[in-house]
Amino acid sequence: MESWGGKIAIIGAGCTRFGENFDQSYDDMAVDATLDAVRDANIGLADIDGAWLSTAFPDAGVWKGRSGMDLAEPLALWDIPVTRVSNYCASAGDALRNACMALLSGAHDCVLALGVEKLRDRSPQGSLVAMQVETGHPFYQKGFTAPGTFSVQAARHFHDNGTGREDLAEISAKNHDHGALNPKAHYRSPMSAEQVLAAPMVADPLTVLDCCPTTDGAAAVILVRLEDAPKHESAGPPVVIRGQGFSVSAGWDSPFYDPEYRFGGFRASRVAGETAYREAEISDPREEIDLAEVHDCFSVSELMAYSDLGFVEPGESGEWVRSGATRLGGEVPFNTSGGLLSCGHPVGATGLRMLYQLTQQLRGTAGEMQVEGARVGLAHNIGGPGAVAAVTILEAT
Amino acid sequence: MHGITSVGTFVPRYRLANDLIGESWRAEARPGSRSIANFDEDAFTMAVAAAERCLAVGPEAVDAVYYASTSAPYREKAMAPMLATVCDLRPGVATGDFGGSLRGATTALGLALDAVELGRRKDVLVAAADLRVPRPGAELELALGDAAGALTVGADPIAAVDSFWTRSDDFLHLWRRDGDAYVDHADTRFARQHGYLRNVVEGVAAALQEVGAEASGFAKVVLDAPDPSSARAAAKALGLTADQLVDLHHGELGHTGTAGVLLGLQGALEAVVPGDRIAIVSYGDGLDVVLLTATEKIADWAPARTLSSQLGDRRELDSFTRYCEFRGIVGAGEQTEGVFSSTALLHRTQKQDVRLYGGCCANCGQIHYPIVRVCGACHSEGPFEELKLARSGDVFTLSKERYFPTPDPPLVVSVVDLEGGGRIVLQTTDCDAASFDIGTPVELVYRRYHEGQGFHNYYWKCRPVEV
Repeated sequence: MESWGGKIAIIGAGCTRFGENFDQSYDDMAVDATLDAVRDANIGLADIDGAWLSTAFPDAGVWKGRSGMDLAEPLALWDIPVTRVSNYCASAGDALRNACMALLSGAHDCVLALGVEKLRDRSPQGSLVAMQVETGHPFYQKGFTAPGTFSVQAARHFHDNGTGREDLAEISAKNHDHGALNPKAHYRSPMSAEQVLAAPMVADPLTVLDCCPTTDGAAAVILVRLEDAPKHESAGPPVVIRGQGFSVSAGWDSPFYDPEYRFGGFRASRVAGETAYREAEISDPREEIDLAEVHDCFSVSELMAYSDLGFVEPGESGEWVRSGATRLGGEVPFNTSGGLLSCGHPVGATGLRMLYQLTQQLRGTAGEMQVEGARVGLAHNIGGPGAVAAVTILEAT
Repeated sequence: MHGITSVGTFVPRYRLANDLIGESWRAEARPGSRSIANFDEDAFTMAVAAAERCLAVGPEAVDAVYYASTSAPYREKAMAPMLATVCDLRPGVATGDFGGSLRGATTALGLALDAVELGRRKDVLVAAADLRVPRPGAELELALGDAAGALTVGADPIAAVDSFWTRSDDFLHLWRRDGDAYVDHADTRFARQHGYLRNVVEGVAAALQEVGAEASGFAKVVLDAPDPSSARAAAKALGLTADQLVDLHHGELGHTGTAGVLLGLQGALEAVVPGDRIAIVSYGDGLDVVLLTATEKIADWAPARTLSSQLGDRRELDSFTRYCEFRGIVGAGEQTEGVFSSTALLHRTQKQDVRLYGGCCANCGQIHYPIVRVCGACHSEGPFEELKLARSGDVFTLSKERYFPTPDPPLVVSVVDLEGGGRIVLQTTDCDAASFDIGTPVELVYRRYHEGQGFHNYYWKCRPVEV
């Protein structure tokens, strides 16, 4: 299999404000994020010759995002192929991957990957909780909410590694502190670990502040082959995709019913990470990666990502976060954007929001969130019960 | 020689103190309590638990199943075939349901005896359970409890049946009309005199006379009665001593409907020695009197769970409101009819999900539940041998859900490693969530999950072995 690392570039990135966007429809957000990216790339809509739309849960709203039509229609982007991609919370990582494949094949020259999710036309309990109560198998896993499918990971991580609620609270507090610096984040208030620990329980040991909020938002990137990047006078320098790993390593049921699975880590993350590192020729991520946006849908997911992505051993992960290594200014800042915990998690948009944020960082335009001298960034986007993972390595030019 | 070959009983874990009931109605404090089925239990699930315990120390196979209850969860739909499936009995066993009568357990026992004595059946399982809901604030609220019992009838018994005497009597004592939520009853003193005592005094005398026995010749008497006062009056009239009477635990459990005489039968069998005689007096629209003699086999038999261990294995309901929520009297009653379910899906996976079978990969030995077609461990196409999974295990990890709707929050969901292999995800019930953790030993219990698509959706849950 030939490596495609280093052959594709992001020339434009756009993102709406993430939050309870009661004033915006699905279409509004799709248009805003796309036009933001198009202007950043300094192209016209007509330059786009193929597009991929990532929406995970069309049923949560007015059934927007069920097909590629829901990207084409609001942008009047007629007569080109538009494909809807669905891979749970890793849908955006998958949209990006498919867009890259289309460029590499030579069939397309300038493509759009857009992620949109409109969740707050319903109450959080009316959308995501109701989904797990009312749909799915009548009995298998009946009783889990989304936080619950990660609290089982936390319980086992604590049991096997000596980690605890304090380590999770540290992650959540850090990401809320970062989010306070991000003008597009849903939550913009710093938070102490004590506040996280004292917050109401959602699924023990996760409190409400260990969980990302229910959020609307959209994010988009414009991609071209690296050799074509100079043809477009984009607003900022292009950012190179040095490698991507994408792995489906479990199903909806198998992680929970597999007698061999020990919990406390995701095989999909490990496999996708190893693939991405191989493509990007990274041998020591802790040395070579300057910052990471990881999928902290729940605080425990970031704790697991530290070891799944090869930064530390599982037993060291609690100590690593407590040392401040993953804070802005630390050894490898994680989630300088505030992560999903502060930005929120409009499901299909999240993976592309990470690329938007990393593009800013690698161009040196991330404002108060800026990691000094950032050259190499990692995006980690997982889906389902940790069953799907996309790991993307970006580098500044 | 035919008779009882095994007995099993099930007392639900929850108790509602009569004090709490009294407090709610600003009535005088009353001693005692009632056994309360959890919100996910009913007169079917309790019968399953009792039947499993009976079969665990009983015959290896049965060829007929009879189910008796006045409060079966379906008006139209038989319970005995469901019971046979959950207990993983041979497909196609003969079945029969007995509804309406509080004497249903002994009615079924009588017919089981007939079938066995005629040689039409070899081993018959009889299971009875009741969950009778009293009108809130009414007299019966201090009197009714929930429980289940089961027995098997066959050859080579632990207690041989010497005689089965029966008579019917059309007397309106306790009733629940079609569509009624609550049990109603006749004037207490009138019904005691003219319904209960008349039947018991006349009936027991006739039953004893038939075989030429004296009441004093019985080591143990199971004297079914709608309430403790009636039981005392009957015992006095029959000249029974305190030693002879089997404690039916009315004070702690209440009257447990059709299950009552089976709890009593287990109590008697726990106490007797070979040669002891036992009488069962079962009341309701008439009377059944069953006279038995313990055989040599009783010395080697022990119940799967003794009555005293079940009485000790209890959790107190913390409020009358919680009880009302369990019974759907207050609260949302969990509007779960909108939950996805499918009769086609459930039928397709009956062996896997009701009988609870996994698939064992012939190539690598991995036990899969749900059953797979391609092995996730060795990637072979098997073949997969169907394997009955254990009904016990240990918690590998868990979640305590505060947002998943349940009448008993938090809802604990457990990932359970089953004894002998296989892993399963189950809701956890009858537990104290705060002390429930990784490593807790659990047993599997068959419970109601929801009412998706307008029928009762049953599946397995787990609960701590003891609390």
